[in-house]
Amino acid sequence: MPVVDLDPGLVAAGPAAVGAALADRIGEPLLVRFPADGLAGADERLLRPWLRTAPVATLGVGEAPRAYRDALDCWVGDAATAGRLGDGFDRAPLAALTAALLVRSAPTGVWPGLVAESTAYSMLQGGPEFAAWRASRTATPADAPTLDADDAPRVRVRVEHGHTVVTLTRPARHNAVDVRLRDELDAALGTLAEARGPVILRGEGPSWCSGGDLDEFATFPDPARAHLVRLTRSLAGRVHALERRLVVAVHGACLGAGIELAAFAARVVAADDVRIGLPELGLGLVPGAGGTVSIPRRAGRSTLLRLLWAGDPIDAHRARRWGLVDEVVPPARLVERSHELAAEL
Amino acid sequence: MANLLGKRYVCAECEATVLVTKAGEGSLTCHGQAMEPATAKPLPSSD
Repeated sequence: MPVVDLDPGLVAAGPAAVGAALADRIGEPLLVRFPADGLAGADERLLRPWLRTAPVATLGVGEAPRAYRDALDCWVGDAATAGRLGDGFDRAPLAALTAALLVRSAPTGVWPGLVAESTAYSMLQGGPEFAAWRASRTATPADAPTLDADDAPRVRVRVEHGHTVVTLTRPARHNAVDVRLRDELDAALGTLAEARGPVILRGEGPSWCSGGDLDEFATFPDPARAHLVRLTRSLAGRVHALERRLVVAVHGACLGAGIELAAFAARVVAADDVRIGLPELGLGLVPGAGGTVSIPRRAGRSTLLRLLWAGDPIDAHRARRWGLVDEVVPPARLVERSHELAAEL
Repeated sequence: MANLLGKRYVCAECEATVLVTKAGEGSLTCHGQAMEPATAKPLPSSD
């Protein structure tokens, strides 16, 4: 297990003692769990600088002392949750640690953050955890059945009730983002950036957006070029450009890119059937659609890492408590409520 | 709704291309037919 539990007395003794305890495992991708009572007794002038530069992921367990609330990568209240996050971290320790280091010292501003995220994502595309996922896939992209008519548009732009409504129209695949959906949405949002007025984003069918289309994963040319393509057709950049006049209505599956893009919006309204999650660790990757920028901005980096490390989707009410969405409504109210919120912007 | 700022329009007949630098009403015609908005250059998956 790539997880180390530190003794409270050892934490209280300070960074030299913590460093000594980790000496034999340093260089491995580790999750180090800190008990809150140990932190309460530590000298913050010594421990805080250590926590900023430690090449391990840090998880606080218990009630966070004020001095350390923002100093650890993630905080949870109880040992059971800390255990689940440890198990989740273990699925892809390199990717899980990469995410923690990325958001711990994130650059200021959205675009620098997107560049840093994409760099990390591309690095992991060349790593052993992604290779293992790739090898575990039985169906190759070419074998995968295409459930939706290939020539159907993936995005529709229409004015409804005086608001520009952009709808993802790939319902048979829960609006999974493939190259065509990416490019159509990129073009639509690019045009809207030059127009005025509120914009509503939503998804047709059972879900808002289930994230990147797995049938297209591992079809990138090479990691270095993939980085350039990601920044050239950056949906995160497009959504961010509209964010102050953007309402996103989420329902059903809201996974990966689904929540990463939505989290940029001024207002996110969720149907109570929504499932929000970051499944990227299962592929040995980190979020690559801006989630390491948008989710910390909206809900803090601890929330991002908790969602990513756990892997399991959360429900609408928990997402509301965590600040990932602003409101929860019955599915039948979702469209109407998104227009009301757009009118208030 | 033609002539969006920054968009390119192409003639299907002769491939003449117009880049819109100032948005406005009206439509663009070449070889007797409306010019089509040019689509973005295809790029591969980044995933």
